[in-house]
Amino acid sequence: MIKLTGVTKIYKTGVRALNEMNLNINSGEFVYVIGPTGAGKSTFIKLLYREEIATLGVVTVAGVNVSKIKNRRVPYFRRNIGVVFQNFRLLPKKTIFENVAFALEVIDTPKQKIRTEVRKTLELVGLSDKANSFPHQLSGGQQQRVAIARAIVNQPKVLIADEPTGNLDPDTSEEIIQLLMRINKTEGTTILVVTHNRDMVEKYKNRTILIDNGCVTSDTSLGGYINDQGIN
Amino acid sequence: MIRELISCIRNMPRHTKNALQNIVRNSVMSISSMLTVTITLFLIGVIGVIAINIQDMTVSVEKQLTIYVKLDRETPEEAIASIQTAILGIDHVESAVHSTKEQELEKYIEIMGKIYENYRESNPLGDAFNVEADDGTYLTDIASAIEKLDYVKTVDYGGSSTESLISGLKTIRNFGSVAIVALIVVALFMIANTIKITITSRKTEISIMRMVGASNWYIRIPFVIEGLLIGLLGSLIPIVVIYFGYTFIFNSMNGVFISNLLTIRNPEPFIIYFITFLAGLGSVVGAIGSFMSIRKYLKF
Repeated sequence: MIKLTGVTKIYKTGVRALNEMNLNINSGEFVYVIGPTGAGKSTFIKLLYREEIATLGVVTVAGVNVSKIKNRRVPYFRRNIGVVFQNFRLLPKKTIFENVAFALEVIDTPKQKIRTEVRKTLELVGLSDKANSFPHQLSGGQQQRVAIARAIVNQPKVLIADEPTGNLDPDTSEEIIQLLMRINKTEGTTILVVTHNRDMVEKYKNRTILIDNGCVTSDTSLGGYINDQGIN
Repeated sequence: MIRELISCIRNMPRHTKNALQNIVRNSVMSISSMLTVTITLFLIGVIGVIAINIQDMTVSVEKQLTIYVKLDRETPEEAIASIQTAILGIDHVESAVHSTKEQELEKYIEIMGKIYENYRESNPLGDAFNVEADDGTYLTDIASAIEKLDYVKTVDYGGSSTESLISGLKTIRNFGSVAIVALIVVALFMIANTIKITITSRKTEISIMRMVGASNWYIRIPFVIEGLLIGLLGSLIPIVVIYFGYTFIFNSMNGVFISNLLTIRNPEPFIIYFITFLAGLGSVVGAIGSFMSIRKYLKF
């Protein structure tokens, strides 16, 4: 589903964010991406949804060579990928229903289908009763659920969650990871979770990739965690 | 591209609904954009109405200006036609109407009274020409060219005072045209700037739209419709004020400014066309302003 071959990213400022990175993630996998700040995690993710383009090497997502996508085709490519951010990025002036429906509206989904899909997805994330609320009326955890609902409502092949629990308390964080794992199981979506949350990686074991100095320094399918010396 | 456009047209009701929602939900920014449109359109409207009326007055003054050319009494009959051809050959001469010495005398008698009837026996007058210029500012040039022709006795026209009236009117009209163009440009940038601030405050919304796979046209269209509606709504006050203000001024002055030579254009249908133009201008400027402002946020 995701394949990086010899990927290097050098920014205009001269900063080398990724250094000949190689990685292969199969369809339906649930993967944690961990690493210290400035290791290249964000750049790695941005390459996946074509926010950035690799300087060297090939990035393939869902069978598409991302670097070769023409600018005007980028929106169509992004419809295969759902992205969730630490700060939720909900539209404050739209209701929960509208926030989720938004992702379907922009891809020309018929009205009736939008209604059924949004209801189904809100049910999946446990927020059916909040459809008419506005984001500021919800807790952080609930807002993140809405963001997840928006990211998965059009059934993307890949879901990228960038620090999804960064702003949440431990209990809520657990709920979010459980939800993501449930989506991975029931929908078969390939999920990448970028996180600093050691407890979570320890408790809910999944394949874990450690990025450091712009390349994958460890990759384990055992879900072991890292201490100061690296991955166990 | 074609697919995107078809999709945009199909989604027009949704885009319009979104645009209306955005106007209401971002009411402070919307109102400030509308006020920008209102103020500039009001200025454009007032200057426009004045410039159009001055244009009318200039044309009407010019039309009423003729150069009166008197010929010598002894001018031979056969020379008249060649003098007329020579006058018509002068630059900016539109017409040269011949008036025979007999016609001239009749005019004299009509104006001065029957005492001149005695001259019917031996007409002391010569033939004359009434010369019209296609542009009032060339009166002096034409007059001096005619003076040089053979058999020409005198050349009369309004003189420098008429010329300065015309050039004064033209200056005001030209200033009006330049001011209107300048105001349209200013309006465009002011609206673009206000909308830019609106868009900056909605950067998150745009980035989310881009994140979930909205095409650039899908993102752009609601903003453009929003700009168009803001322009249209912003033009309402100037339209109402100019419509009623102009009609009131016209009626209270009986359509005449200072003298009968300077008339004000009848409000029907002129003012209807003019306010339609203002509404159109507001909408187009609003839409272009939005289009310009959102461009930089849509680059990949």
